[in-house]
Order: sequence, then C-alpha cells, then structure tokens
Amino acid sequence: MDRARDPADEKAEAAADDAHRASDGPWRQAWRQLRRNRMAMAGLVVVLVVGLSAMFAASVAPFDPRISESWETSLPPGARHLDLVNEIVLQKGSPRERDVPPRVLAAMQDGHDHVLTMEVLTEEVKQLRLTMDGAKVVQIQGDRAARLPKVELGEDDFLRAKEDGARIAARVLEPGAELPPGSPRKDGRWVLLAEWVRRAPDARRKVEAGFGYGAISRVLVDGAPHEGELRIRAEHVRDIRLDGERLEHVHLLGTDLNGYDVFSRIVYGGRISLLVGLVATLVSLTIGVVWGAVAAYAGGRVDVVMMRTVDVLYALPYIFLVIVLMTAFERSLIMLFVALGLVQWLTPARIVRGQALSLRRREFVEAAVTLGTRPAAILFRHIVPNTLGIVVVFTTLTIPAVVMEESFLAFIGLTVKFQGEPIDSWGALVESGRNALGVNGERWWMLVFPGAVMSLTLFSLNFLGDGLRDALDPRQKGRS
Amino acid sequence: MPLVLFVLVTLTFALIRAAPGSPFQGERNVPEQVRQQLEEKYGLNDPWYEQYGRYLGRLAQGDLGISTKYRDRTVNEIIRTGLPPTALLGGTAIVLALAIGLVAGTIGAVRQNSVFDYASMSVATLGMSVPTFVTGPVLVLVFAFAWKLLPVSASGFEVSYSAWPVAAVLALHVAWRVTERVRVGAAGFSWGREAACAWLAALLVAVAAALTLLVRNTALILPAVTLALPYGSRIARLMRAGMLEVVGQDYVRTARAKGLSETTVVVRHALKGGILPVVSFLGPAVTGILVGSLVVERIFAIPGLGREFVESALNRDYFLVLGIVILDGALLVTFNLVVDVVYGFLDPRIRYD
Repeated sequence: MDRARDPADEKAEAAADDAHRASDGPWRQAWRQLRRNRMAMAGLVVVLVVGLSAMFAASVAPFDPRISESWETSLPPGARHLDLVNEIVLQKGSPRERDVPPRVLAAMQDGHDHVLTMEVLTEEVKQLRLTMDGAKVVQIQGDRAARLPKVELGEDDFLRAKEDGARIAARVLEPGAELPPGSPRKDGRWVLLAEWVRRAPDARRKVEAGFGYGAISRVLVDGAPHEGELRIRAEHVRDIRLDGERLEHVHLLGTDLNGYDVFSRIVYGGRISLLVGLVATLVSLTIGVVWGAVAAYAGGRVDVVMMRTVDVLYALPYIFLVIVLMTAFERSLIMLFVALGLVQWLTPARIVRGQALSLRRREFVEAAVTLGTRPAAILFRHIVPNTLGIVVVFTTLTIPAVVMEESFLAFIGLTVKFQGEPIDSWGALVESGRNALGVNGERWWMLVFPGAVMSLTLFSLNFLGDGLRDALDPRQKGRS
Repeated sequence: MPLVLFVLVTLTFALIRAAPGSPFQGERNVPEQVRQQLEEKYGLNDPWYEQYGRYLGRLAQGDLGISTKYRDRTVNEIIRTGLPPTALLGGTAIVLALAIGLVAGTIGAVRQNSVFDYASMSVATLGMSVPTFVTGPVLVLVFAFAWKLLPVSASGFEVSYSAWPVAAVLALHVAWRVTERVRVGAAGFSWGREAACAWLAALLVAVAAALTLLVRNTALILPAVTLALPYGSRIARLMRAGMLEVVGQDYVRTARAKGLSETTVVVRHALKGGILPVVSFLGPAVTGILVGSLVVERIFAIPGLGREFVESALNRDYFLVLGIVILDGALLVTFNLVVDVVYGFLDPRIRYD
C-alpha cells in the first residue's frame, strides 16, 4: 500500500471488524483469534504434518520398518546405499522374490527387456600366523611359514581372527607394532591365527544379467556365460545398475544398529504415540466430563462424595500405579489406553463440574427443566455441549502429556505389545537410540532424530493448546 | 491425609494381588517344592484378607516386609540404601529449578517484553516440551561425549552432606546483609524483618548447598540439570504470570507511590503475591521429580530408589513395590500438606477450617 493510512480510517475498520466479529458464532471468533496467533498456527501446521504422516505411514515411510537390511547397519544420515538383498541369486528362469532386489523384481514384470549390470568384488583370503607378546606383534608368517617383514592393507582389505571371525582393526602390521584396541588379545606370548581378506580393485568381476517376461534369460560373468546359479553376497557388491541407471536409495536419517531405516521407524512410531495420546485422552475426557457434569447437576451429597473421591485420587502418585498396572498385567494396547486414561480424567472432571455448576443456573437450563425434560437429556443436550470449548483446550493440552507418559513408560522398558510383538513408539526409539550411542556418541542420529521429532511435536501441541485456550477462553489469557 | 495413604496402600495391594502369577514363577531352576515353601514363607498362600491384614499390621509398626527377589534383604534396608542418592538428586534438582525459575520469571515480569523476557520464555516453553529422557541423553552426548567436560555416568557419586552447614552459615550471613538494606514496608503488607530474613536465608542456603554439592560432585551436574529443566521452565512461566498479575495491583502501586525503590517494591511487596502460583505448583513438582528420577537414575546409572522401583515392578517384587509406592505416597502427601500451610502463611485470605 503506498497511501499513508489515516488513523480515523483504521479506527473505522476496527469498528467494522468488531461489528463483524460480534455477528460471528463463538467458534468462528475463536478461529479468528487463533489465526492471529502465529506460534499457535505454526504449531497447528506441525501437528497436522506429523499427524497426517503418521496416519498414512505406509505411503510416507520409504521403507518397511519391519524389514531390516543387515548389511547396512548404522549408516549415517543421508547415506546413499545400493538396492540389494542379503544374497543375490542369479540363475536362468524366474527368480524367487527374496533373490533379487525389489526394484529389479518390479522392472521384470513390465514385459520389456532389461539388463542388470553389477560390479562384484572378489575376495582372496590369505592365512597369516602372528606371534604375539601381549598385544605386540613379534613375528608375521604367511603361506608356508614364510616370514613377512610388513603387511599393508588396501582400502577394501581387512584382517579377521580365524577363530571367531572378529575384525582386527590394524591397517599396517609389522613386528614391534601393537594391535589396536578391539582386537583379540591375551597376556604373555601367544599365537594369533588371522585371515587377510584382500579385495583388490582389479579383482572386480563384471556380472551381467539379461531378462524379460518375468524371467532371467542370460547370466554373464566378465563377458562369459555362466551356467547354474550365481550367488553374490550383498557386502561384495560395489555397483549395481539396471539399464545403466544406478540402483540406490537414500537413508535420510540413517539406519539403526539392526539396519532399519530411522526415518521410517519414526513415522511408524508416531502412529503408536499419537494413537495412544488421542485414545487415552478421549477415554479420560469421557469419564471426566460425565463425572463432572453428573456431580454438578446432582449436587448435594452426591456432589460432595464424587468430588471428594476426585480429591483423594488426585493426591495419589498415579504414574507409580500405572507402572504397577503395566507390569502386573499383559501389556496390551487396550491396557495402556485404560491405564493412561484413568490417570487423566480427574482434571476434566473438576473443570467440567465448575462450568456445569454455573450453567445449571442459566435460563435455558431452567427453561428445559420447566418443560419437563429428563435430567439425562438436560445434562447431555444442554450442559455438556456448552462445556465443549474448555474440553477442546483440555484435549490439546492433554494429548502431549499422554504422549509423554506413554513414551516415558516405553523408555523405562514397558513397551506395549501388540499380538505378542513389541511396538516401538517414540519413547522406545529414544531408548534404543540412547543404548546405541557408542563409546563416544558416534552414532548420535539414532537418538537425536527421534528425540527431536518427538520434542517438536510436543512443543507444537503445547503451543496450539495455549493458543486455543487464549482464543476460546480469553479470561485465562497469559496464564501458564 | 491418612485416608489418601490408606487408599494408596489398598489400591496398590489390590493391583498386585490381582495380577496373575506369583513372584517366584518367572525364576528358573526353582523346583515346585521349593516354590511352595517360599510362597508359604511369604504367606502368599493365605487368603487375601489375611495377607492384607497382616501387611497393614506390620506397616503400622514401620515394617515393610522382606523383598521376594533379594531374599536376605528387608525392604526397609533396600529403601535405606536407595533413598539417599534419590533424595540428594531430587533435592538438588528442585533447588536448581527454583533458583533458575524464580529469578528468570521475576526478571521476565519486571522487564516485560524485553529481549530477556522473550528469550527466557521461549527457552522455558521448549524446556517444558522436551521430555527428560530426551534431554538427558542429549546432554550426555554434548557435554560428556562431544566436549568431554563431565562424566557420563553418576554411578559413583559421593553422597555427602558436609557441604550443607558451610553453605548455611554463608547464606545466613548474605541473607542478613541483604535484608538489612531492605527497609520495613507498610504495615499489613510486609513480611516481618525476621521472617523475610528466614525465607531468603532458607532459599540461599539451599542454593549454596546445591552449588557446592555440584562443584564437589561433577557427576551430579548432568542428572540434576536434566531433572531440573522442565520444572525450572514451568516455575519461570508461573512466576512471570504471577508477578504480572500482582504488579498491576493497588498495593504495589501504593508502595511505588511511597517512593520506595524498584528493588524494594519487587522484593518486599510484589514477590510475596507473585510467588503464590509457584508455591501451589510445588506439590505436583515434587511428584514430577520423583517420577522423573525413575528416568534420570536409569540414564545416569544412579543406584537410587527410582531404579529400584522399576526393577522391582518388572521382577514382581511385591513387597518392595508396595514399600516404595507407600514411601513416595507418604512423601507427596506430606509435601502437599507443607505446601498448603506455606500457602496459607503467604496469602492470609486463605483459611483452612
């Protein structure tokens, strides 16, 4: 706007705005209020994004959280990785589902001809005999007991103990050098039999497979046809291309210790956390609203007894009882809803009772009484609907509390089981991330990302709740 | 208060009894006969009302029974060894939370809409939303792993109370000097000089003791901060809201009109009213800190009651679970009572019949 605004103009606009506002219903007014609250709107957006992605987890998550890729454990965030299966088996004819990568399998079905090319490392294993003094190398012997002055390992090479297959972290071996920590060690003089696995770059084989109409028609190794089945372990594949296009995927937030995609686990974990939050809140709301409204409407001695009960229960250390409940009985999802719902119903009971007490004396309720409406109808048609504003605020503020409680339970090891299988909510993810940190915290992403997503969601829900409270119940504004 | 405790005991007892299975069932290598003997010894084969009656009778004498897991230890013994670390951790955390929360909240309210106000309130909202089991490991990641400033686990921290008397003398001295400078305000609205001195001294003693403790025991810093963060945030927000409400009231305006300095107005007059929401929050805060210690003790491997509780619940160690729940319940109920009394003292409008 280039015209300077006239203050009188502004005042008139504000007045018109006010008049307009007065003509709106209370819900539209609240929505207007809320829209002006930037933090609450940001919270709403985050909550919607998280909620929707949890709802449509199957299409949002790039990987199935139940399928682990054991050859790609602990990949850092953003790691690109080849599309593989544990062991690729190439043989003329239709391959079994688990023998080729899913994308290859998908491509096979379209009826066109395709070419799959791979570069595969070949391994050469040399036996080494190391005479040790504690962790110090005294002598190295290779084939036929020939003494070796020094062994230098190439980039893809590694050493492993013959006995148990444990890796020896050394890159250079020579008499007088110490084996790095993590390697096998014993006191005094001893002999370590080791294998030197060499993966020379020039020892890569080129494997080519052509296929069409759902079946593999030819398998070539370094240009020569290969008869029978060809088994290739995932860890040996250095490159895989389908019609010249590299088959690879990205683990946006890395993978965990078992090779599960962290991002997918967070999305699926959110489903459990939010579901529990929502359902337990609804359970507590139902009990609380009915309890509070009945107490207020009945009045007298009933009211006193009902509210005294609430007072006594309020003073109990509830979470301890929930823990006892969760350990004593089967840890099913329903149990969790009940346990958490039972904790939270006290607050809405008190709030609703307070509201209902004042509503009971209002004219429209008295009119209903005069007309001979049944008490139940008065309660649920006239009183309860009028407490909805407060109930909405309570819901948005209780969901994060319940999500936090559920995650807390999952964190201390009380994960929920569904059909006998534990389900990983955000709390369980944080706990497993904490256990996976490593000696120096080098695998931080398994802890930080689930924690961050969870905190962001709780943060947003809290802001949204605060905003809603300001919008629906202006008297409470500014309180915390 | 006894009613609450009674309900708690009964409810917990009923829950544990209603659970299927026996505490000895999960253990392997326990022959059927031995199991029956064990159940006999703990009286688990008697009808429930006899067990309940016996338990109540023993409880009245302060005997919490024998652990079914560690068969040579009584619950009283386990609690005696587990309570000091938990109490130390919880006490330090709540003092830290109060110190940070009260100061940040008061400054936020006095300098409303300043940069400090916005910054501290944003941090406080964040602190409230991030659960302790996220902050704990992340703090470990940053301070113990990346920067290597503080130890990872607090399993070996020294339980010492020697810091407290030193801190007390120091704090009393400081409090005396401070209150000397704050003149007595208008009658009816002011604390007596002695009362003000006592309050301030108590808080300062606690803060000083907590700080000395932390300096002597660096292993305690991370767990205490982790535990204190959400409650410090909440206290800061409550304090700010409470102060804002009070600052606009007539008696504060009167105090200003008398020409009292801003510090005197805030410290002597506004603070007393503004602190009310914080005081009523202290009851829930203590509950929260007890619950939080379940998590924090697990993260930092502290051999306290919280860890003991989770393990006993998982092991179905009936009497230990009952004992800890009762102890925590009693602590909470007592604390709520203290809070109520303090509340009445601060706000004379409230009377308990």
